[in-house]
Amino acid sequence: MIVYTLGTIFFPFDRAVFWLHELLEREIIVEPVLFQHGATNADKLSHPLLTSVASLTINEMHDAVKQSSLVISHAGQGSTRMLAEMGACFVLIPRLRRYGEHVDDHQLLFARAVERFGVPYCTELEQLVKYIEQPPIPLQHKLFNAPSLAEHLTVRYRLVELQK
Amino acid sequence: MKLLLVCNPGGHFSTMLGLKSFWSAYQREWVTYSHYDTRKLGEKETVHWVTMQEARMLGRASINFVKALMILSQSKPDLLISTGASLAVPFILASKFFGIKTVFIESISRTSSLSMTGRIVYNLVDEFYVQWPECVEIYPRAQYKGIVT
Repeated sequence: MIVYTLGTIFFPFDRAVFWLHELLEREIIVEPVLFQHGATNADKLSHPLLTSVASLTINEMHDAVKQSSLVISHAGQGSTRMLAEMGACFVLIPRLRRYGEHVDDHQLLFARAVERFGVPYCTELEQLVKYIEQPPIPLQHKLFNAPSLAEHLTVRYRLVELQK
Repeated sequence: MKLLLVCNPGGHFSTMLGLKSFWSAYQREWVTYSHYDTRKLGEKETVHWVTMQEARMLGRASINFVKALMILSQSKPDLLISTGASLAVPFILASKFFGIKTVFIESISRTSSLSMTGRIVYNLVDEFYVQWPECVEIYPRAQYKGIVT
């Protein structure tokens, strides 16, 4: 199974719907697809292999990811971190400003930044085709190896409390 | 110490959840709007549901500014923390009127420049955290103390 998620932000991501249509029609995808389309209208897209839902709960998403051979996701930071943590095989499609898919190009910049750590992304359909034909290897390490901000805040505000 | 946790749904909400080891030690209330992911929050936490407000929605920001004044006067937090996005603006602005300390945490997706929300609140907040060390070089008021895992 392939999980194809656009996130649940309210901007439409019609390009990703068109890509999915192409992938199914050209029989590049030949296994079931669970499609979380969020706010994007996906009524016109129908295919025997396709199951479309507006949104999954976090638990449903986790279950689906565990069962999937590949996850194709918008480059949201929450989704990316979840997929990396779960050791999923995944590829990102950044939402782009020029098509009205987000307010700016931060998803593209984020995708470029995490590419350094081994996360693949694509901005063209033909790149995605290659990742479907040859799925990327899941990350073997933590996506970010950095100190914890939560720990910093815990220590910092414990001190603030003590000083009162 | 009492906290007010302010965040939009989606990645901003998941970032706030990633700070649970910090905020769970304190009395707290939340501010967000109802969405697929935040809807269940009210079952376990005290939540002030506000008007849906996303980027560049000035009219809604004004509505939420009035709501922010009401919520802050009622909730009386000692510290307001926001992981973004746009909901941070009316709430951080309103906090200034009550002298409430504010902390803003920029999204990890902002690798080299701040979000519009980040730029608006940059000079208003008491503490501004970024999640990429290189951002500190461009924004000296920002601190890098690690990431939200």
